[in-house]
Amino acid sequence: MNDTGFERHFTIALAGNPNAGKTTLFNSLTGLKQKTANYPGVTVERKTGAWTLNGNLAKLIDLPGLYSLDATSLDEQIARDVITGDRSDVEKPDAIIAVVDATNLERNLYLVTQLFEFGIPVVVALTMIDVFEKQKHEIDIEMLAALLKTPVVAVNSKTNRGIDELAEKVNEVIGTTPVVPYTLEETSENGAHGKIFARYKYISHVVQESVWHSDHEKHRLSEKIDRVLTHRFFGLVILVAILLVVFQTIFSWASLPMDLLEKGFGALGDLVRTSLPPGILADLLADGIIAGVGGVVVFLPQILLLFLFISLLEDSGYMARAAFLLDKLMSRVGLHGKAFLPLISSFACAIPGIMATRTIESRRDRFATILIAPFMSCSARLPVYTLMIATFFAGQTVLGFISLGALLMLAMYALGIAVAVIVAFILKRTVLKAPPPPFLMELPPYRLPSLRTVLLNMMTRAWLFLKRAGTVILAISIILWALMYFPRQEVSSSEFRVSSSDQLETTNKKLEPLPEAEQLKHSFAGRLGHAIEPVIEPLGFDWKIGVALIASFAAREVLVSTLSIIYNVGKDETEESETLIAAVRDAKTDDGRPVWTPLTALTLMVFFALAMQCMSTLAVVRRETNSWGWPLFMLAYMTGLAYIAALLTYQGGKAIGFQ
Amino acid sequence: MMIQTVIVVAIILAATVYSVFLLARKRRAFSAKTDCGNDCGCNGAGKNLTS
Repeated sequence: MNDTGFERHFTIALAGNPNAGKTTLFNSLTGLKQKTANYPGVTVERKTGAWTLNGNLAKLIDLPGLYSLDATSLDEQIARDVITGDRSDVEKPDAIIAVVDATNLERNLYLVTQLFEFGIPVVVALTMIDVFEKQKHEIDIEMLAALLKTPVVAVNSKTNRGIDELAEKVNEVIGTTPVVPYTLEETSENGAHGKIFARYKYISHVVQESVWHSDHEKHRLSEKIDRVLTHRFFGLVILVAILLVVFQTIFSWASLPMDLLEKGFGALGDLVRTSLPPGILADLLADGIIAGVGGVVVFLPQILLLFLFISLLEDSGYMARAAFLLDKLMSRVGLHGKAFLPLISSFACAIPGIMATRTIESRRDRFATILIAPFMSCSARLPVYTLMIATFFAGQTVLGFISLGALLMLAMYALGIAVAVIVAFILKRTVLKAPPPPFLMELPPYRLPSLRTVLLNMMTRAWLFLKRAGTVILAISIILWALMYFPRQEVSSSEFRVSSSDQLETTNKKLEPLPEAEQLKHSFAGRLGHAIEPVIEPLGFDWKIGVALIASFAAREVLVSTLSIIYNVGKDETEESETLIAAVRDAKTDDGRPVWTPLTALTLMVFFALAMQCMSTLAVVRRETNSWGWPLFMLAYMTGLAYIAALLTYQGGKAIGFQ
Repeated sequence: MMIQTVIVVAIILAATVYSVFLLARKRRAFSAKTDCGNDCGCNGAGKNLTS
């Protein structure tokens, strides 16, 4: 025993096909909380964790999902390098746990046969055995182990079935030399393909001997459902209907907790105002910090609900069907089939989506996917869409039962997808010209979503959202407040009276501060907003929206906090305390016209659907492409496109009579 | 009033320092010296579209 309290230290690698359940098993063995989902390719980077097995400590490496070790894509290369010990940052594994999906045994065993050839002992962890048995199939695990000449353990991470046995078997095999249970026939006749034939021949024999498939049900329920859900017409209708229901539910379920949060932050602001003497500190706390951070945090219920539905759709297996439908469209424009996962991930956040493009072998296809990923409406856009919808379109319906808000939300998601498809079409025929390689998509089996996985995803997203609100948004809110508060201007009362009532009164020369609205206009942010006003005026935006737009280039949701601060800072003491929605609705220009109209709100939503307003995404694109050119190109073309689309929306809307 | 001003200035300074720190972290990610993402395996070949 050494000073760590463990007898020995090992390195164990978890390898398996995409969506075989590696990450779920990894989380179960290590107690960590890596993201899992019911579609292939969630693990792109390798993850490590500690696993104690019978007095020994193992460093467990969760490798990316891979179908073979032929190293044709980046993730396969990473996995191969780890297994062969070619990576300097990780020791060669002492054993490999091959995670095998029992419902796709033949395909999964191909990788296992390749693992045997590396000379590292292998233990097979058989997952999805519950699904397999429910399908009325039977598997003889002892026979399978005997034929593979390696231990096989049926595991279920949800019920902890087989977890202890797996530890025992791994302990047993460490230090042993595996036997390759078939002969590799590489002859001059069949060349390198001989190895492949030998593996498949052997796998076919193993499956024939150890598995009994039920043929009583000619068409399984899953296949019947698939025929409808992946139908080129009905599938799309169902997809649109599901998304409409999701958005409608998000709006209706989130309204009560959002109101409560809004009232809570309002009360907190009032409490600060009444507890502290009037002055700069109370202004900062109430108008800067509470209004800024609170303005964003009130959207937490919507974020939670969005990820509840995303997790349910992912974990049930429906998301893969939706991807299958969209894949037909993507392949027509020349995108690689593997682009579907990065693009779907980007609906949560473009950063993991862009990182997930590593599964795409062709660099041109990979870059094309990276360049369109930020068009997918991420969760940071949700507060912006929601604010606009809640202010101008709440309670309105189409055809009497479809919420206009939900329809608009769906339209923003559809706009992002449509523009992404058009841009991909152009890119794949110009700067990134290359034929798309063929791609076979695997549809995972339907299953009841795991409550743990769903809650874990929701909690992870909620934590990220709150962490961002408490760090980045807080810091930006304070700085923005300062830019909107300073410099403080004082004028003689006579000057003020000239400007406010057009009457000359020069008797009283006492200095007094400008009203808050005037202070804001002369602040640093106000001057900046006025400077860019000519550029954004054709979009129907005033200088205050301009300030919020500039601030939102740091992060999209900053628009909401900035508007919240602007309307709080610019509020005179005589004005009543009001919600952000009411403040947006009541905002007036200098000549008394409303700043915001439904058309302005729609224009802003269109701008946000298409603009590249995320520094973190640009940083990741820089890192992933190893070039400055691509992130700058992305920033320029997306923002240019957003401006043109917003301009067309506003001017087109005005031309046909909208306000 | 003076104390309030000092506290506010300190908070603004802290927020500015934190933002600069965040920007510096992003700048490192943007830096040409940094390799591609961890484990992406492209070995700095990002500029060359060979496939």
